[in-house]
Amino acid sequence: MRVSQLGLEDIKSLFPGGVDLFVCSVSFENRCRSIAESLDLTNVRHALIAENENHIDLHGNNAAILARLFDNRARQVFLDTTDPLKTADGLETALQDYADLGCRKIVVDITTFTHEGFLIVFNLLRRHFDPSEVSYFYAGAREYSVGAKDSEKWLSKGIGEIRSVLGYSGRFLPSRKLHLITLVGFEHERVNELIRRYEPSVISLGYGESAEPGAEYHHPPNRIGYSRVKAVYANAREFSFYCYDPERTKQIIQAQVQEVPRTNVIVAAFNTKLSTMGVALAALEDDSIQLCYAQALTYNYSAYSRAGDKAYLIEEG
Amino acid sequence: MPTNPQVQPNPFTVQTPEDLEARDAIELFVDVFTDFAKVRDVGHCMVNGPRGCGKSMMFRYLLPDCQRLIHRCSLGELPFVAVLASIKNTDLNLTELKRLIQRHADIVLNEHFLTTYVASRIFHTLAKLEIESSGKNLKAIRAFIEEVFVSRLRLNGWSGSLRKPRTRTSVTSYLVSIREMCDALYAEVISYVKHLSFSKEIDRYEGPLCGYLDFLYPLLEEARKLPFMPNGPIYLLMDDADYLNLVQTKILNSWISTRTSACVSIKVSTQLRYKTFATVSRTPIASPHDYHEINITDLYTTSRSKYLLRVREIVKKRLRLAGIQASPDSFFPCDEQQEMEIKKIGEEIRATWMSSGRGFRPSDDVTRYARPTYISRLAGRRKAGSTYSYSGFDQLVHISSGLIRYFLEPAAIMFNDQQSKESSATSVIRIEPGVQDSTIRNIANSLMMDEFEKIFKEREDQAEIANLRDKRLKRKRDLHKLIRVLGGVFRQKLLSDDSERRVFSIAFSDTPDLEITAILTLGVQYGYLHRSTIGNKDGTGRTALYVLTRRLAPYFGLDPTSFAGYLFVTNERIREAIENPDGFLRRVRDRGPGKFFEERQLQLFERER
Repeated sequence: MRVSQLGLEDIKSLFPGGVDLFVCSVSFENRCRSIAESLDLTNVRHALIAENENHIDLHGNNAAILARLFDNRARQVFLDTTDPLKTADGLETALQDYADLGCRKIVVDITTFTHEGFLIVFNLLRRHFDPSEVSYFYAGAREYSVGAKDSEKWLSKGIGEIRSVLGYSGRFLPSRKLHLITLVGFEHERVNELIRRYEPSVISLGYGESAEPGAEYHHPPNRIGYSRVKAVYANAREFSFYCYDPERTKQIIQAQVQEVPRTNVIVAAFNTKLSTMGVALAALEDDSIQLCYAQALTYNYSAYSRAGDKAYLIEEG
Repeated sequence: MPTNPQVQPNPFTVQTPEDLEARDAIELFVDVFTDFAKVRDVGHCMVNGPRGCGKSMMFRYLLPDCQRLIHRCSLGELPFVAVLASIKNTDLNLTELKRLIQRHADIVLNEHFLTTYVASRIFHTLAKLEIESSGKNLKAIRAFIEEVFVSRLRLNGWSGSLRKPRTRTSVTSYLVSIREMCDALYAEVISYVKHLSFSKEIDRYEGPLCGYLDFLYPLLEEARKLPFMPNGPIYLLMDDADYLNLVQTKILNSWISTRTSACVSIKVSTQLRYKTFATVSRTPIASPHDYHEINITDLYTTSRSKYLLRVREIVKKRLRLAGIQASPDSFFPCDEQQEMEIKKIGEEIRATWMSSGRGFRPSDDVTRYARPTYISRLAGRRKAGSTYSYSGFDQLVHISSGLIRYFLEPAAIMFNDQQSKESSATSVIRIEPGVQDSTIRNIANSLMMDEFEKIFKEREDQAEIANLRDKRLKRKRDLHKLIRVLGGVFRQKLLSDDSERRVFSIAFSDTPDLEITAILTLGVQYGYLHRSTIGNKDGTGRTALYVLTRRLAPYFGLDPTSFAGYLFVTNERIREAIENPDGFLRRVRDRGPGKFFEERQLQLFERER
């Protein structure tokens, strides 16, 4: 996977050969429009707009604005954060249809999919299309939990259902111990709860690499979250990963898996979508790894993020 | 992120009991079987208690490696052999299995999945016990594999070939090969399930199907006859069975309903969220008919002295293992200034007891009124720095409300905070009262604010109750109001001149209606209330007592220590309180809590006449 950072204004000139299908997800964050609004819309043949049906009342006008951008080229697909089968079936049907229509060049804005929704769509895209023809965008945020002090920043709270992610069930053996790998972000309280629920034999806490471009603003609050988890689970192992480099994160996850051999491995990704992509790549290469999703009970709807003016472009190769 | 190997280890960090070495488990375990004998005795039982109350530790202690060390004997001489099948969150409950709900082979496939999981755990446990490879044992295990294990598998549709042991001269090798075959059967289900991920069409499952009565039970019956096994029963310890899916829960209940406990006793632990007591044939299992029920927190919330003793022992052991030479009381010191002032108030009470005492002895009044008087004087001062300090070992134990996790987790955070205050070369030998107080206050605030916020947002899993979501949300909001009122009333009681000021519970002088009962039950479920019973007002029976968790004492400014009294309330009063919490609290304040509740009881009494 090749990652490049670019300004939103640079996106328009990309894909001179046209985009057969653009995929994005509606959200309460205005960031869900950043990429779509930066594309050369005349160049896009089809748009698949995903929306979590159970969160519609939180999305304001974002769904309508996105639909208007693509007009009659847009197709809506309803997902549900509480029903992964509905999410998978909706996406599977739509993507199959576009594959049947001969779509080849696919552009996906992964910014505002839920982590679970993203993992499912990523898996399906690789089943239906040539991975080298799929480009992913992630619109960066200038600030998360806008206006809050570092020690009080939060994006989501609580854990409802914890479930394995559809398509990433792993290959567990009952006689093996459990190794939980988490990529910690702002969600330290959710990580603590996840560990309580799993009671893993081995805990590996991943911490975002601070030297990485783009991470400098988010590093201090992430670090506070990390130390809170470590207070209760002091025996946990530690490692660093890259928040904005899926390929290197994949390799790091693989190394973590190998460092504690003969265990059942579950990975929970609580950091950026790009690091979640790294996790997905690791699990698709080694299907003994299970990915789990800890459904948040509530999100910081009013101050989740402030959109930045940069985006990441991720492409195979 | 680099780690500093010199950092003093935190004695209160959480460790999974399952992963403790047998010697460490014995060292850390505080024997609670005098309190919960049924867990150790023959028979099915269900051990209920919130996460962190010590269920898993109890199970760990029952495992044969610990029992052999404790009894200093061989496996065969033990009274029972226990096997742990810990149900982790997604071990068995894969999302893909939802595709099977009420469709292809839902029950039989889930039972096969559960059976192979448990079978693997059994032979995994036995394989780790280093059983002597005597001629007799070897002959018996070979015959067991061929005549029992393989033959049972074939009867259940298996057509594979026997996995050869690595060496034919080791009993362990044979046990490992059985375990590997069970693992392979389990993995076969996972392979099938993987095909369901993105497909609405369901392929037929064509592998073997093993159940409890046609595979696992007969296998264990025969396993007990192996010369190295004890004559006693096999205990299947199903830890955290709440994590089974609904179908698997019904299957486990069906196993329990078979009443095979003389040979195989099933011990199930739950975190009070067990999905159903129905079996696959829809008939429910019931206690004590089918199993014994043990509610761990019932004992420890009603017998505080017993709980205090248990926590003291646990903390002593943890401090010793961490190399800290301090008693629990000196490691968690109380605020000395505060205690001195409380003592001074006690002396004043003692001095005036002859003229204005209320209790039988001066010491009764000191216990009852010294601390509440101190808290009430602080409330009168209303100046910065004049807040009550929730510190000191005893006080922290009281606040943990009968649940060891609620002591250990805050203690781990306090240790961490204290460590960051000390210079790197200094070892932590005590947690300052200020650090204790601030941690405990943060937790109480979060319990009343953030936790409720989460509860309001919580999704109801079961589809059949989706229609009741609004009703449930209303109940949750009503619960929040009720807790607010209870805390507020108890605070007013503490600051009053009433004879009993330390109140933490309510009892009903009439019968709460269905809605109020449902709200109270929700409070128990979420750990805000604990349910117990007391003698009713007219002495003709017992009535339910609802105790507010002492974890909220800092939020409401209550005195968490020692025994506290209760208020008799009526259903109507609680309804009024929920409908208008602020108005209700104002009226209690205006009339005085003692008078307010007494008046009401008098009216009720008159009406009844």
